[in-house]
Amino acid sequence: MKIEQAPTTSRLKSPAIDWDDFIARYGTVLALVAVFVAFWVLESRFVSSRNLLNILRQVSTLAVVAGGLTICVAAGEFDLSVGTVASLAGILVAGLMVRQEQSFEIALIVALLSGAAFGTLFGFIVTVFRVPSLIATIGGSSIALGVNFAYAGGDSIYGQMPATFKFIGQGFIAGIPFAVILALAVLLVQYLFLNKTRAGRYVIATGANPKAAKLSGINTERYRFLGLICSGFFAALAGVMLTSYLGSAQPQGADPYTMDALAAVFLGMTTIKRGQANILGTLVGVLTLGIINNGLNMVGAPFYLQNMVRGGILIFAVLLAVRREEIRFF
Amino acid sequence: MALLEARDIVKTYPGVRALDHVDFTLERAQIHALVGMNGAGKSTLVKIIAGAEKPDRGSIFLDGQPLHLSHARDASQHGIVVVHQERTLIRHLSVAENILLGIEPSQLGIINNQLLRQRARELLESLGISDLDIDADVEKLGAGQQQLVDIARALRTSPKAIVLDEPTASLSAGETEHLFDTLRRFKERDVGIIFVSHHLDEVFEIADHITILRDGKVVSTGPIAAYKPEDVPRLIVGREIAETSSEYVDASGKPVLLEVRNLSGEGFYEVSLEVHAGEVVGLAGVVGAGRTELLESLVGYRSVRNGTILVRGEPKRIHTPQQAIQYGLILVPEKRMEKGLLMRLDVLENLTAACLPQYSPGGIVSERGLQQVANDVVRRLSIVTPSLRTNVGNLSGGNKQKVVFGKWLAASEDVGEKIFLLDEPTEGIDVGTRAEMWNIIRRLAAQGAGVVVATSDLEELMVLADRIYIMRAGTVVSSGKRADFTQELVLQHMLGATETVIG
Repeated sequence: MKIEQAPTTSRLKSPAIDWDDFIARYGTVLALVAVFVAFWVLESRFVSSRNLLNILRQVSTLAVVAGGLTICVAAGEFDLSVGTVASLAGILVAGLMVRQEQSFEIALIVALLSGAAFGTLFGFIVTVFRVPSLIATIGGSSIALGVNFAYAGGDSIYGQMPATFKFIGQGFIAGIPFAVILALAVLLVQYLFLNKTRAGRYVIATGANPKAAKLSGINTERYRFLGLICSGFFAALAGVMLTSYLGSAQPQGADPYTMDALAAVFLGMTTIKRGQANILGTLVGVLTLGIINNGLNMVGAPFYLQNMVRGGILIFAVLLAVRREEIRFF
Repeated sequence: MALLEARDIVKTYPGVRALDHVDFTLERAQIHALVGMNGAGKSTLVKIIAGAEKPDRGSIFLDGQPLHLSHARDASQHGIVVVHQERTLIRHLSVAENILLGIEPSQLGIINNQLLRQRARELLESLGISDLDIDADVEKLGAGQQQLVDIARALRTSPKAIVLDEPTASLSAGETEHLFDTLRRFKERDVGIIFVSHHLDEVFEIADHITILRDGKVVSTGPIAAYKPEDVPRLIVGREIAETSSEYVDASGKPVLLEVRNLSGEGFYEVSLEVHAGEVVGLAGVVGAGRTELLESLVGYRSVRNGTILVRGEPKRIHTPQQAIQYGLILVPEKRMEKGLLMRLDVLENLTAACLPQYSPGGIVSERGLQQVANDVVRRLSIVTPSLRTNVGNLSGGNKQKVVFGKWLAASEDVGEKIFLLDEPTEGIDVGTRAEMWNIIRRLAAQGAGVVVATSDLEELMVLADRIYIMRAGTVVSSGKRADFTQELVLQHMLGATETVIG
């Protein structure tokens, strides 16, 4: 049998820069720059080194949660419990140090494990019992809240906390808030994990098409499980960072992270690697949310406007991605 | 005056000129076949006629009147009906409810069930479909019957023009005949029909007129009687196709790589077969005969109820595709969009999905290693792609299929000793790429691999297979050397027209 090579289909040469593609890929980044410039024009104090560092510090905790959630979404799962899991970790770390007089190390480890434990629980429910993660984590969110109230009675926790603990949220290294350095380090690790390791590639493959991934010999359950553990663990870390910054723990202090982190991840899916949850995109999303929050404060916008804008951003990000067929839900 | 006319249609997608000044005319009472390779522009033309895409230039005329379609609904309001390849049925609803979906007879919002069933029955009768239970849950029907329900729904509005996009892809031979009878009946009523197909035998059976597209241009059009069946592939591909029948390989003396004994599972039972090193085994059967279920169970994607699987003589229990791959048992699944491709990821990520362990020492991926292996596969399979970083969704159907297949070449340094299970490897791809795939499959066997090809395409079966197993209703009803069979005989066994067992 002899068969000639198939002819190559004719394709037009693409120009040096494909502007449509550029706008589609970096439109979200351009929007971020535009928002930044707009606030700068409205309020010159917006661009001072103090305020810029302030913005970075404000978004550092959200960046940690959103980065963990990115891995979860990349694996094709949702985690709607990150806010309450972060709140629980924040309460636990404070309570263990203040009420149980445990050392900083013990408190930190228990708090982080609580997040990982919730992730593990969801992993089981989702991969073994085949409950959709959307449902498992909404239910789990309520459970985390219950555990939180059972432990702290719904009260805030104040008191003397060790200096090493307070350094996480309040310390500076060479003039830069430690929280910012920590968040960057976490994002770097998450980025390297998703992009440079075999496990990370398998997470992405699983999220892209679980059937095809499974038939390619990938243990998809393992990577969905791993995604849920990551979102829980990093949510807990963010909860600890928040408590350290505030110097006290609020029972539901970190709850809004669920929505903000989702908004950041979905915004991120519209840029860099379109249609895929990716860490750099999430960083763009986190910065966008942070700049809008801070900017609205600086120009003296009423506080409730922030809620409306953040909710609007979540819906708009998904709307944009769905319109461009980067995400499909149903 | 023509019924439907497309004049000077131009459509460009980023980087690709999909249609290049195309003229197309559909007359009343005409069945007009539209053929061409994947990427030739058939789907784009169909989409423009259906109002799902807007042309950059050119216009559509219906009964001589220019038609401005901005939505698929507009086309159907003008009497142009499109039957897509994909099913659009609602689960849990009955056949009758699906057929009359959206136009149910009702009073004050309450559906009149009796009238609904009566109308559905009348409609099916007028279409000449008699063996469909109108009360059955559509989910319980076979693929072919589901398609008939879909077609019945599309045709309920007495259309002027019907567009059928690959309508026979999941139909058995009997169901295809059924469909053709229905089409002929519509033709008698002056309806014009556009018939998009890869199957030239069907085209020559049903069509009056043919238009051949290549690279976005009409290369030939005219009454079907003016064409000889053997000339059309050359027009589609744009060059001579060499005779594609391979020499028969007798591998009976070679080691048995895969042996299946009395294997049963969901959708198949008591299946026994063996695959020797160096041979291509054809697995024939109509859709629903249990071929896909069997293959997917062999690699642990579905579960096996009982029976034995021996790989190179050793009994193996295989629960996951991962284990199967370790034993050298590889499935290239059917339905590449659903089961084969990592959509939204790029060509490199798709090609290397199964070979990461070899290229990630210590769990860290070697970008250079992956690029090398991916480039190598792209070259070996002549995959047409702008770059390794191109989103796999942007490739043509044939190239997508090559990517799905190439993933396993990337993962197999030595293909000998491996067992490749290929489920409909050339489904919905163009003639040229199909021939390339055949070449690749023969080469695998020549290198010592055992290959199973499940196919509904009888030509493919006769070209590729050294030995043939025919499945019907979940089990093997006949098997033997290729020389023992003719296409006609295979068809008879597939459809249950004979009970003789050969070999």
